[in-house]
Amino acid sequence: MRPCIAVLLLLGLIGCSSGQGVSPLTKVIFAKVTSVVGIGDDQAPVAAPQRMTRASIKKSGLAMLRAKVGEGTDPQTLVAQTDNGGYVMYASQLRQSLTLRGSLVTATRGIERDLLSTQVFPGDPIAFLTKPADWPKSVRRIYHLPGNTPDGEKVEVRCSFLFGDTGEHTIVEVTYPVVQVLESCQGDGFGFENAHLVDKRTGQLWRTRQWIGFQSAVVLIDVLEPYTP
Amino acid sequence: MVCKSWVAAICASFCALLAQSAIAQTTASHGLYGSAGLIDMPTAGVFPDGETSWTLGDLPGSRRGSLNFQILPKLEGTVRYSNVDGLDSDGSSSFDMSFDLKYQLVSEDGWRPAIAIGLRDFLGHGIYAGEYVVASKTLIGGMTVTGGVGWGRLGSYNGFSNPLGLNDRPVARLAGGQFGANQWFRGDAAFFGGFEWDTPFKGLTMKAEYSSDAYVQESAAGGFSPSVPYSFGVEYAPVSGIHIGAYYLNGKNLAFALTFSGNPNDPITNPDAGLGPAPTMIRPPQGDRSVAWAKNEKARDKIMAAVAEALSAEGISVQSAQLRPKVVEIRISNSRSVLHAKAIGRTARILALAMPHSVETFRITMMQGGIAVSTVVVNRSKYEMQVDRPDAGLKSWQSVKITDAKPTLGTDHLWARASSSRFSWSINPSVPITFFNPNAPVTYDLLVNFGVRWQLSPTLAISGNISQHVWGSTDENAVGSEFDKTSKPVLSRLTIDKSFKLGDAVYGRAALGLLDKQYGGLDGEVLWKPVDQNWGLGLQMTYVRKRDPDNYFGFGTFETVTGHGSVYWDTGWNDITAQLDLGRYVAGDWGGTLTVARRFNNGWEVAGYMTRTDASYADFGEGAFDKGVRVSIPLRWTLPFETRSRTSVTFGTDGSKYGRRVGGPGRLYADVRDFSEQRMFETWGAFWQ
Repeated sequence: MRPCIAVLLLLGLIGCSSGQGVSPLTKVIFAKVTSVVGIGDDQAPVAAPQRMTRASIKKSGLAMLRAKVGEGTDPQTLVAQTDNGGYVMYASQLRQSLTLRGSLVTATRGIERDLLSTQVFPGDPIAFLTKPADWPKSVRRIYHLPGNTPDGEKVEVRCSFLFGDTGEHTIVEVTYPVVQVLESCQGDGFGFENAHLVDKRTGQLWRTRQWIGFQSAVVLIDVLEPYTP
Repeated sequence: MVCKSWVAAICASFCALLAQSAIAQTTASHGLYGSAGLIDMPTAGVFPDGETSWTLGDLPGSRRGSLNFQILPKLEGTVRYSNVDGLDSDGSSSFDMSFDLKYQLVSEDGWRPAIAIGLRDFLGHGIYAGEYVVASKTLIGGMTVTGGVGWGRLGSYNGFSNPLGLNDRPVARLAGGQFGANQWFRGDAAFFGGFEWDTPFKGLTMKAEYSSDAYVQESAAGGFSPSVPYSFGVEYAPVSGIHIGAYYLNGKNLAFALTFSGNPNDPITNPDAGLGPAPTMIRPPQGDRSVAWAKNEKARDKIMAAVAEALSAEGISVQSAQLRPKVVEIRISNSRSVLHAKAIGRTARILALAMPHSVETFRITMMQGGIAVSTVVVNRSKYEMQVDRPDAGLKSWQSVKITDAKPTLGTDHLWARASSSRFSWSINPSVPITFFNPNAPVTYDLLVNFGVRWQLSPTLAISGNISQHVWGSTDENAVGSEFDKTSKPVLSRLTIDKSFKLGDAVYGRAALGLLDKQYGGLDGEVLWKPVDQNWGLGLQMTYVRKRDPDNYFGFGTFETVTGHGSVYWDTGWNDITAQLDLGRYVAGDWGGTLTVARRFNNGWEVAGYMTRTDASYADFGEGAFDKGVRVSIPLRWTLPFETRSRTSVTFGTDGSKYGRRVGGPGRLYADVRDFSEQRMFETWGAFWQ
């Protein structure tokens, strides 16, 4: 119903004018919304998805993630763009981006409600590569969500780790030995859980599901090719 | 009197249920009055902060339209227009406007219920005048129980002696528009109460209440007359933001309610969806920092062409720039992002990508209507050390400097847009709605507006607007001047506009021509508003002649000079702003208008205003003064992409010729307020978005 309301308002109130271009993203979103309410152009050409192979990943020479936010959405491939002080920004073709410190999502842009930043502290095994045997019992983090100050709304949590079964996990033709880790985070009057598949040997996270804000769905990330400085 | 069986029952159940620990905070739903309530009776619940709703209630013999706003987390306000059959002295329907306030004294906590105190219809004719103290407690299973004591209309059924000892209550007020403070909490009191059950079926709520309202006036007028004090209701929310209610009132009649609600903090669409910012590359420490490029005009033009194109995709228009070897100033206007801080941040990112490595300082100047308002000075090295880091928000705020912009750039190393003359047009539908005129409860129209603007220079333009009435109140029953009662296209504006800056913090504008659909003339305004100050002073003077309604370019004989001195104050507390205008209105009456608004950072604004002039009570019409509420909603709240367009609706008196001002261009303060240091502080988180 909400997309319907949005489209009706869009069609009814925007009107038209000279000199107002529509961004490519707007076109994509509009097409998506209109298809939901059945007024879209069914004949619009759709680009055939390219099949990703390990060879194509290696050939690109780029650090790469596959990320999906919420249920019912298609995963997007994001490529590392910048490394600023260990904070690596990955962006999609639609210029939606995730910034990661190690494997911890420290910022999102243009996806759900933006996560402005995440403050990490030394010893956080999600942010700093740590062998599973050396993981601490718990870590402290501060999430910065949009708010009425430059710092945004600060949300502090303490997260503890629970190790589960071991097994194997395959991502684009490569199989890794992994251990399941459930991360339970508690703040003042609220809590959430993250889940990870962690390489038994190195502590690298190959698949991770993380909380990115109260008003956002969780993000599920597959690490196709990890970033190395 | 007091110890009726129902009272004992409610008291017993209430006390027993208090013994249970709270499992949730008291929430609220809309009653037939449009405020937080059961059916007719209030509750102690509050809506989420900023929640705004429109409720249409249809009862036997009366209709109520209410705008409800959660002004502050514990303060709720309601403005209501109502139409009650047979209440006028000649036996016809009475249109009435009323205001309510409720304050939640304590919120629900553990065993303690939420407790609130409220006034109904404290600034109207007093048809619904009543006061109350009420408590509500959330129980297990989605049940909420409410009990309270009411006075006035809420103490009119099965009342008892005033527990405060204030037994004398004046019968009625002299007229609408006056406070009824001499009535508050006086006279008989009575108990009311009820239950609300949020059923397991999603969106379905059931209610039952014991009412302390005897409907005395309606009964006397031959309208609704209750048989029993009990009422029952069922409400359903098919989707978020829409509630439908059906009620069986007082064992006799059916009533219905329809509520639309929205919250500025809970947009329909994701406000952050869209293009993310460009990545920022840090300059290599050993990079080329030579400055030879700055002497090469072609190189400067090439850089700026790329910057302008990149920013254009962000809805940012570059007006001019000055590229010096170590300092670059760029003057931009933001036509897309709701938050200017976001446009500034996006500009900084593009500059960081595009500018030669020798440039150490970015001066980003925000333009509005061709006027330079404020300059944000960004140190590039610090910026590079902040980007993508967790503490970037605070550190960037601490490292940037915000100043009043110089009126013009210097002449050296200058880059300017290739063409400063532009023609633009727009076609937009609009739905002006005004609730409560003295002769009609609501006026509404559907208009199609055709606008043109020929920008002769950045600060000089010719603007015109023609509107065609398509549907609505424009007929022989319409309220308003002869200018409103036409089916012809209305030339509502044709002016030549000039804006200018007299000093770093002094702004001015002038307009000559047809200022609005009723008046033409010369309008001028000056504003003093430094960016680091949370208040400003303005002066507006207008010479007007009344237009000929039968001739687009003709004038009548009426002419006058009108003007106001204004004080603007952004309190910095809960987004509250205040504006006081003192001066002479179009009809020659002298007085003032006080406007208090809550303006959320996303642009959603709810403003209450009142105008009092030296016009006599009899001359002024409805109430002793003009008053109302205006809601302005940014379309970004509903649309899945960035836009600065908005839509507005007004609840208020609009029928008197007194207390009126000439329309035309908006106030300068509205153009510059979002660039103040205070607003920038509140929205600076968007700098990195």
